Amino acid sequence: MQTSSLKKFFKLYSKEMRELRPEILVVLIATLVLNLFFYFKAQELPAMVIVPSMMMLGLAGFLPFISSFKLLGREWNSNTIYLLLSLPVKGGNILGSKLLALLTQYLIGTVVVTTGGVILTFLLFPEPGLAETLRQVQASGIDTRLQTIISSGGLFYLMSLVGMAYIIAISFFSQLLGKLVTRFSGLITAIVFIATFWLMNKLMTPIWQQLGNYNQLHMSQFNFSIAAFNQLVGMNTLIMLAGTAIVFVAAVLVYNHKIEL
Amino acid sequence: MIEFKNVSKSFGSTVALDDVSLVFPRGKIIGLFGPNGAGKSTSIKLIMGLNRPDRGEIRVDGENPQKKKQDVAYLPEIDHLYPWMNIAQAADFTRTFYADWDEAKYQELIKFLNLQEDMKISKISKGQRAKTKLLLTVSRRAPYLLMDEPLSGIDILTREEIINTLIRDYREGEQTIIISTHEIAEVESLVDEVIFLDRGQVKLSGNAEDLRVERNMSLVELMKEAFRNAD
Amino acid sequence: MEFNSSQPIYKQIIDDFKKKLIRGELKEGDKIPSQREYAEEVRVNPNTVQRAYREMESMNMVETLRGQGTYISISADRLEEIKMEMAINLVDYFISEMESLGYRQKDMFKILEQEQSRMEGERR
Repeated sequence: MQTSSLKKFFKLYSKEMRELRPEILVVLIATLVLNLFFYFKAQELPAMVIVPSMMMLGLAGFLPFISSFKLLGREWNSNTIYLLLSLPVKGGNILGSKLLALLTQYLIGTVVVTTGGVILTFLLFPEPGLAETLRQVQASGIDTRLQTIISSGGLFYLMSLVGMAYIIAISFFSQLLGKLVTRFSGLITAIVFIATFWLMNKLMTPIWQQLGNYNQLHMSQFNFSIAAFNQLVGMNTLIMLAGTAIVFVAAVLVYNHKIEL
Repeated sequence: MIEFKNVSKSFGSTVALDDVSLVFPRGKIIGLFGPNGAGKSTSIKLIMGLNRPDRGEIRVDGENPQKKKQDVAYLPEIDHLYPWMNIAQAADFTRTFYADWDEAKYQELIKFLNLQEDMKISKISKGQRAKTKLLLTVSRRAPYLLMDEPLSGIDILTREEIINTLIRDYREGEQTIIISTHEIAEVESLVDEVIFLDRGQVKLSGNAEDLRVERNMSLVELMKEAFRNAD
Repeated sequence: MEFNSSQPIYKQIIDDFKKKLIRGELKEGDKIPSQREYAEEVRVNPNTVQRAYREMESMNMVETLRGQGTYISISADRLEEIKMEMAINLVDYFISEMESLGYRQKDMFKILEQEQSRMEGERR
């Protein structure tokens, strides 16, 4: 019985998800507790609703980055790297499943926090209600067609997701390089992290500048338009995705060809 | 067949293997003997592809070890299983990656070794962990089985269970088992071939029975003599 | 079965079977354990047991029938020969050890007779 590579990848992914369970639970519980607290305490000052949501969004957005160090570093600390390295799968699968798990963590965290924030808002502001709010927004001239909201919001969210992947890829790459030395592993990781970040920035900045010029041109023609905004976000996302791919491939190559015990 | 051709490996200033050329014949139980720091673990990790040689090359059935991982079952000296898993989960994890997993053998062995599927790796005794590692490696019908100090720090009864399991499930002629240990007396009647390593070099190697005929000595005595001559 | 690990194990296995044959514990036509069973029983590498069984076949002590197992198959003459071989081995060992202690043939006989009658006396 030959198990498919998809099944192997999924097995690795579910293992990583199990490792991330505590962090995901922390975000879930903290969101619930904070929202409840503000629901009961902030009745007299409803504008405070923004506080728990912002706090939690920060946590949910930041935690996967912290977890990326735990998820990879723990394999060495608990000697499970012996198991991982002896598996007949390559670094692409190993690091890919970890990346996907961390992105899932990000997804779950941000979705939960946002949903919690929206619910809290409607609980604290029963007036004027959803329909009325929409009407008011529409009256102010902003495009509120569902399609537009989804496309812009979705695109913006996608950009944040790719940004997360980018940071995680750099985290993996720098950690693996840190593992190549026996001493000052943490220091090497920190230096490589900053250096890679700087280098990738150098690489992407000219493209961003080009893009900015191009966009200014368009902006001046059409004034501000959703389409131009989407285009900018979309392009940014693509550039970052390319950057992520470069760093991720570098990390996989290090895992496949350099990592030893 | 596993071949080492002029293999050298150092870790920093420590020489683990120094220009070693070796052949591990197929279908034999091979004892890799020597004191601590002789290069036993490094040899095994090189075969598993967990280390890479500085010089020379290693071939597993003529191929790079990195490409033969699916044919090798590895039992490291350290605890390498995920501590939060129970035995069933660890088995399920292993099962996914190897086509040679033998479910019937696993079910039979778990009983034979007095283990239970719901035992959590982090909660069980050292002996039970050693048996779990054995269970997961032997439940595969892998052509190569690498065992790094499978008996160290384990009580006598568990040692017997481990050796009995190896004998019971050994597939003569087709399976190659490499056991590194410094407890030679325990595996005296288990090994076909022996390799004595010392400070990264091969001191003595050959067929265990032939060595007994030639020298009229047990492997333990041979080891002692080899190292007496070394000094 | 306890092995002397300074002697080849396959030879010790063969000797064990020879003794059982001579003592009559095993007879012509008896089925002996399969190689695997035997390896498990005495906790020895199955390859070593295989070597011992192969050797016993070529020594005309046993016969392996395909798919049925291994049986004692030995002629009375061959058994007598084996018995003699073992006796000679023992005596050779005895003589060389005694010689190394400085005994001559005459003294050896004397000690042999003395010891034998003493042991018989004890048994009674």
